[in-house]
Amino acid sequence: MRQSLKRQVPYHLMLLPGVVILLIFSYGPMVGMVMAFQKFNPVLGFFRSPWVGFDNFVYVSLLPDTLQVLWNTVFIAFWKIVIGFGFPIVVALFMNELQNMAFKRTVQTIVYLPHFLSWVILGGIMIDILSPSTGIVNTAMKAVGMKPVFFLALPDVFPWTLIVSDVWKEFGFTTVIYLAALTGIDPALYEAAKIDGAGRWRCMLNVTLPSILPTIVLMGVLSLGNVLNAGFEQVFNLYSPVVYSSGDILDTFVYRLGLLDAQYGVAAVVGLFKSAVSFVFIVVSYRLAYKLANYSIF
Amino acid sequence: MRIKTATGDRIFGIVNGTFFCILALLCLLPLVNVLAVSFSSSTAASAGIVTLWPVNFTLKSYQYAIAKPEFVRSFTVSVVRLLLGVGINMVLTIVCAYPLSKDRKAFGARGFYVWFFFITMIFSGGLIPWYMTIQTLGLGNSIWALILPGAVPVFNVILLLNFYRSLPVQLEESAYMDGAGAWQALWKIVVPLSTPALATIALFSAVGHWNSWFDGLVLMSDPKNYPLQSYLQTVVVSRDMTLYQHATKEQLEMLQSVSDRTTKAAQIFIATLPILLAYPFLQRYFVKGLTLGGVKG
Amino acid sequence: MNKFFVALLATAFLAGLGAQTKAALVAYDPAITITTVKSLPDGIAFVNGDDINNNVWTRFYDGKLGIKGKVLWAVPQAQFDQKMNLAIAANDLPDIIPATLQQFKQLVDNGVAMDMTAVFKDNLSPLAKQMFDLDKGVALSQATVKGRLYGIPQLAGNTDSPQLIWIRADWLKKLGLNPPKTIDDLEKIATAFKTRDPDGNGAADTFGLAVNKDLFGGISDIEGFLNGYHGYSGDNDWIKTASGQIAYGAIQPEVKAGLARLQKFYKDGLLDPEFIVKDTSKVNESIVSGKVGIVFGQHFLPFWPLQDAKNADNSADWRPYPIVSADGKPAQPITGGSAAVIYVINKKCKNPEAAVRLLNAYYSKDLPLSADFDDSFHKIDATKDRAQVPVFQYAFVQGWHPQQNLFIHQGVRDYFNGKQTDKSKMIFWVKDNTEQCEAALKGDKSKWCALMWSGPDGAFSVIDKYWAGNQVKVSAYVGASTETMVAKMSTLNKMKLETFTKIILGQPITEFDKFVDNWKKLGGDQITKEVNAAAN
Repeated sequence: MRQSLKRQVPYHLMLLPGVVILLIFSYGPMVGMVMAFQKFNPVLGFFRSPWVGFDNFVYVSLLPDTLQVLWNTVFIAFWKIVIGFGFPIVVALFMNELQNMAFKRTVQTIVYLPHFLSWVILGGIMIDILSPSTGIVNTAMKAVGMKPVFFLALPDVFPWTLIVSDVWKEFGFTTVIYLAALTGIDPALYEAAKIDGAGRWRCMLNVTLPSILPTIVLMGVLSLGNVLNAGFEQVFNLYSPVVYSSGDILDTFVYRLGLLDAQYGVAAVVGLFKSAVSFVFIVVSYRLAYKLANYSIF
Repeated sequence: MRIKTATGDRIFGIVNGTFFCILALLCLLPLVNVLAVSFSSSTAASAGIVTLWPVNFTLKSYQYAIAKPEFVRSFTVSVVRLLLGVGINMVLTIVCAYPLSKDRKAFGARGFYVWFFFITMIFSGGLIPWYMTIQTLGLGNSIWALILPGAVPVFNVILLLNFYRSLPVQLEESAYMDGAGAWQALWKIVVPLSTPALATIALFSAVGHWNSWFDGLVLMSDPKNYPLQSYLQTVVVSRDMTLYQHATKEQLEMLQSVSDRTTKAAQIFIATLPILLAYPFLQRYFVKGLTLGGVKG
Repeated sequence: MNKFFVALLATAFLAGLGAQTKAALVAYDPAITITTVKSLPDGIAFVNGDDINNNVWTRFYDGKLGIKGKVLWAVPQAQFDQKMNLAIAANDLPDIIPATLQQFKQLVDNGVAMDMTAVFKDNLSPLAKQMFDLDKGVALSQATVKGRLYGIPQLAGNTDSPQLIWIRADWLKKLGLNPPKTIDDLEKIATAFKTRDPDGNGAADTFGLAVNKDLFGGISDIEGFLNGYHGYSGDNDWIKTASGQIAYGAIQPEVKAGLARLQKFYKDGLLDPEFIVKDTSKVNESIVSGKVGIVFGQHFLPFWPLQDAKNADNSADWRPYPIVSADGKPAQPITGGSAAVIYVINKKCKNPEAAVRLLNAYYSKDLPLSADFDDSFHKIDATKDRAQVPVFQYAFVQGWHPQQNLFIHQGVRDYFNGKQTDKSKMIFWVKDNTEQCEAALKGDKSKWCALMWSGPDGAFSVIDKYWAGNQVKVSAYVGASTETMVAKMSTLNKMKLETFTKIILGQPITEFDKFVDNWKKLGGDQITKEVNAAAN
């Protein structure tokens, strides 16, 4: 017992620098969460600003758009999570089947390109690409006999434009994680499967997929933390008054409130709310993964 | 039977290959557009008529971008930030993930630490206290303000600890038998076995440092110290035209010069290039079978 | 008393102010230190080893005023707001705080801003006072809360902001049309631009009127159009009603009528059918590529984007015209505040009068009407690639002649119509502009923007006529945001934008009445009450 404890000393030491940094730069600033319950005045600071209880929460909940905005946020974020989680797995699995190494590497590099263009840049490009009269997408749709769609201006379509374009921008980057996980698979497993007469398809399902399952579960659970993150930069650069009804999200909402005056309390309330919801989602899914699959994510 | 499988395989291969060709094309187009704009004349660019091929080909915007002192300086800042930042990130990720990858029996306090780390991914005090902390520590306007607050990338720690856990326990045990301590086990056994995972998190950390612009903008008090993406943000962000309501002629003349889209495009492209090259470089470490088995469950 | 006899007033101070300005420059002994922060405008540069803390202005402050200036931070203009918001939130502020109007309100509410009422009055130099007098107190009212002055407005004047119509005159000529006198004319022109192939490329790819998705913003906006219906619907437009009360512009029936007409424009295809997703820079692409021939906007359009249009197509002859009316009554463009920046003096500052002295110094050195004017404080010729360095931007506290741009135009006009052709007698501003206009007339395409800005037929020729004809409406309230404005205005503005857009796209015009009801209910009535109280 004593020896075992002694053996743990280096573990504590290894964690020490990380713990100190997080204490200073993450836990320290968490004091700021009190702003949600204050009428914060910068001159008075966190400790002397007047306390207002839940007034800020009440204020936010009574704003005429809050419910709609919350719904939009959840809708957009939900589908971004689902598709943004599933698509990279599919891509990684099929990319793994590409035989030509040079082609495989080139594709890997190319699909991660969009991640590097910011929404400020992409916004302008997307307006061109998606234009119903001259855009390449609608031209293609017209060519096959479909009616043109104004992707950025129809309230029903706009959220899907956001979802699809976000998945497009980010899937290549997420794929990298699975590709790394794939490298960990023992080639002997494939050999064994082949001897058993398994084809490509069965190898993928019976060997590849189970091998990266822990990574999949991990990514799935962590991505649930984004349940209220619908993507500020993207929405801000793409939305317009006609699609406010379906495209206005919590972050753009707070941004507009903040534009007129620094409503510190409002921003803190929304921040706290988002954190709390993420926390609940991750913890529940963490427990579920542990109970159902006996797998502890971290 | 064999022949049928071979044909099936071939068809699958063709379909799969075509799928990735299309996917790659979709991902390539916007960057090609940026590239085409950067090589076009500024008149063509501001008329919005450049699509995938330069109109009135010229290298002027590149000459201008490279000659711009702000651009060159911020490039240097970014490189320094990348080297320092990724180095520190990697060391801390490696050493933090290792103890956390142990089970409760081997490391009793693990549960506490893991949650201590995890909470910081979810909760934050927001922008204002974060800013005040960094200013109070006197880090404002220094490169450390861009490195220390994010020195422990918790997401990467969690990724890596999962990878560590998939490594065979026997190797480490035998190292302990030979009298090695935890530090030796980590550096001599665990780290060399983790290259694909390390390459991945190094990539994430590098991309994170290279792409982040907000911290540079709000923490630096002199544009000389802006990293590249912060500088670019000042270039690409749209101007608030209400400021020009009362503008004098000198101010208006400046408005003209900043609206040049070809220079913006050239700078965006030059800024993206180095980080694009990082991936093919790191791909070398994604080699199959480098690790030994290590599949759990 | 809405008329400006600018030239007359200017001559008045040319005559007698020289001696007084010198006396205004008193030096501190021993020297004091004053801190500030700076917004670096686009294109600013430092040459000859200068930096933001060591340049022609700081050396002057140090040597002549006994003020050691220290800039705590200086960031590009586009990022200044954000950085300042954080600095305010962290209460990490210098002695002189250049604040936007919103930030000004926060600083007053937080208790950071010093009451400058007496200090300002006692220390202002006669020359600076003249400038504020020319502004008729508009800027000062922007910096006044409950009767006390809480900052020094950076005087820029509200002369410049009335809207103009910019039209492709070459298209008019080609199609045999005259400039518009009424909204009906405008519709005819827009229809011709759409249907009669003004660019002669054989394709129906042009449209009439350029509008951006945010509907407002000083360029490709609808304010000038609605002004034609005597409607005023910018976010900050307040009007005086017949009963003498102040009311919000955007909820008035005149706006409704204007929107109904704009709806018809859209229905007839005179607007870009895709304008609802295009921001200003996207709309500018249509302008530069010659897809559109009419755009409402302010004076600055020649610099951006019309110069680009000229570069792209030398025949693109964009010209400014006065806005037109839908009925017999002349259309009145609206203008608002005179300052976009207010220098707030931190309560912690021990020498608040230093800020006023810095302003006096600025006027004495940078205002060409001053006897001490020195153009090395304004611009210097320096590097190879940048023709001139705008060193006036280094100054800690700035202010301009409130009718400066108009004044420039009048000088240029007098040169070209032969009233005043002696360049040696011209003041700095006018000479600079006259030379550029001459270059443009001689064929220097790159100076076209200057010609269309200050030249004899440029933007300011129209603005000059607006003012001379007593045609400009000044917003009835330009003061600081009220309490309910802070809490509710962003929601109301969003509602406004949504409703207006939907109406233009074809929803029944009765939506407007719903909007008015909701606007009043959701805080608008309360805001109106507060505005009336604050104005009286």
